[in-house]
Amino acid sequence: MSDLTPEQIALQDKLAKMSPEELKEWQKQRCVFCHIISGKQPAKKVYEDSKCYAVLDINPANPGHILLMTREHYSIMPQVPENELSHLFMVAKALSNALLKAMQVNGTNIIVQNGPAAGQKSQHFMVHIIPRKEGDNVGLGVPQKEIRDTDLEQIKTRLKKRVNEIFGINEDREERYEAEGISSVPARAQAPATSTRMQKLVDTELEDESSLPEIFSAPELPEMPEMPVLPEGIMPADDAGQIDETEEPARIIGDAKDPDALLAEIEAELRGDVERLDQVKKSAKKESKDDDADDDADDDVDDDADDDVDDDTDDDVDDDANTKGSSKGSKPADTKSKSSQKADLDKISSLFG
Amino acid sequence: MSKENCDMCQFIADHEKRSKYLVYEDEDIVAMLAPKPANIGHILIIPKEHYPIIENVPDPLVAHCFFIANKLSSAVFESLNVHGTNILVQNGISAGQTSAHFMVHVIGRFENDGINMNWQPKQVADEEMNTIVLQLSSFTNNIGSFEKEKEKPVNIDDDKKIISDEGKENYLIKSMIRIP
Repeated sequence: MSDLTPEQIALQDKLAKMSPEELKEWQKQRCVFCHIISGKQPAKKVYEDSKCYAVLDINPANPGHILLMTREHYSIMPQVPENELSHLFMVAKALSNALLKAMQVNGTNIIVQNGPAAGQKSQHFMVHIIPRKEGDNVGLGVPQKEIRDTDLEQIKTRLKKRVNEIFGINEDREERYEAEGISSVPARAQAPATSTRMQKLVDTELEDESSLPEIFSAPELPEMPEMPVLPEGIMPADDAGQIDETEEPARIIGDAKDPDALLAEIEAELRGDVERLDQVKKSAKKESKDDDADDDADDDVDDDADDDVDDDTDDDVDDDANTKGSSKGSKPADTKSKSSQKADLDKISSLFG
Repeated sequence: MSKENCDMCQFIADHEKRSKYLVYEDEDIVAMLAPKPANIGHILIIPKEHYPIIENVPDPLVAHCFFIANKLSSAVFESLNVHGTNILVQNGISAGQTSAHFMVHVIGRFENDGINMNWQPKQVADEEMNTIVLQLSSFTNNIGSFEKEKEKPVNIDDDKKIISDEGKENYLIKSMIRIP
């Protein structure tokens, strides 16, 4: 639309000057669906809970056409927080099931329309759940067209590059892991939301004037402008609290220290308890020295030192075990010191609950 | 159609064939470009497990499929310069389901591209709407709790090969160095 009325031009200017929060408020006041949810507008409610609200469409594709929307006002899908989105689609699955049983139809369509070109008519994000029957004459069609390999290749490289950026996948690193025989298939990934461009498209309600590419008849795909790379580390407010798991955890070379002893040491340090730390360290030392060949001399030396220090502490078990160990000789000393070490760790872990 | 007969299951399992179309993979789903797309940026998100329709798919997997659909829809929008995207599930033959394996479609859209995602609104009488609401209410009352994800058993004896990540040190080891 190149010729706009003066009022529309004024409106565009007004919208362009608003901040995102003001824009959201402005949309919310004019949003029919927000009015429905708040009760100002009557509608046929089908289901509601704390996160979503479902009504029957008054202009349905088929009888039983449900509109499932979020309670909060979001204009596009990338704005919706992940937990609300997950909840919404689990409810959509349940509603589809309910439709199949209640309406006795043999199919349903679940549709999301993102953007005016995709058929989005309202500024409030919603999911359409449409019951389908054979020969019901609903226009929804997904054609199947042929595509050339070269075009496919082009699309794939562009898309994969962006997808890897979104999910933080490093292709070279993956290849290295594959070569080593380690599976590089990631666990379920989480990533920050993006797409300011789509937001602008929906907010300003302008039609994009760029010419359409001729998809399957042109010799090659038309030149697409370079997409700006999203700077690292941007986390929008909607995603506050989400953990960025794009980095792989660091891995350790060689033998790790005994994890129990390590944990006990760290806990002791955090509590600021130096005495207990000494004990733990000594028991760890004992454990490592037990592995050596020359246990006898070391044990005797340690026991003597322990006797001096442990008198002042409240760890009586330790004292008894140590003294017994020094008097009885080498082999019993081994087992005794191990049991004393275990007693140490048990006592410490019980103190920490 | 069981898993053995399902051509989609076989296609996913064939790593060579699918690499031409593969866009994203994780442990539960495979996302690939459609071999016969409706438009530029037509992606299929397919769970690796075989489920015929959405009612059979466990709730956490449904949520995950749509989470990925959301991210891929953003990716399509930003990298392929489409004007909009549709996310679509065809549940049942009358809904247009062509393969007996549940999948989610993400389709890039342009103005006037000839794909029809709109419908002719039908006139439905008020009475009929009320009946429908009543019919649905007996089934929607049961919607409440959703399945939780099953915890995967942790393999303690797993003897994985360990590689150090360049430049990164384990912070635990680092903190150990501090302790006198």
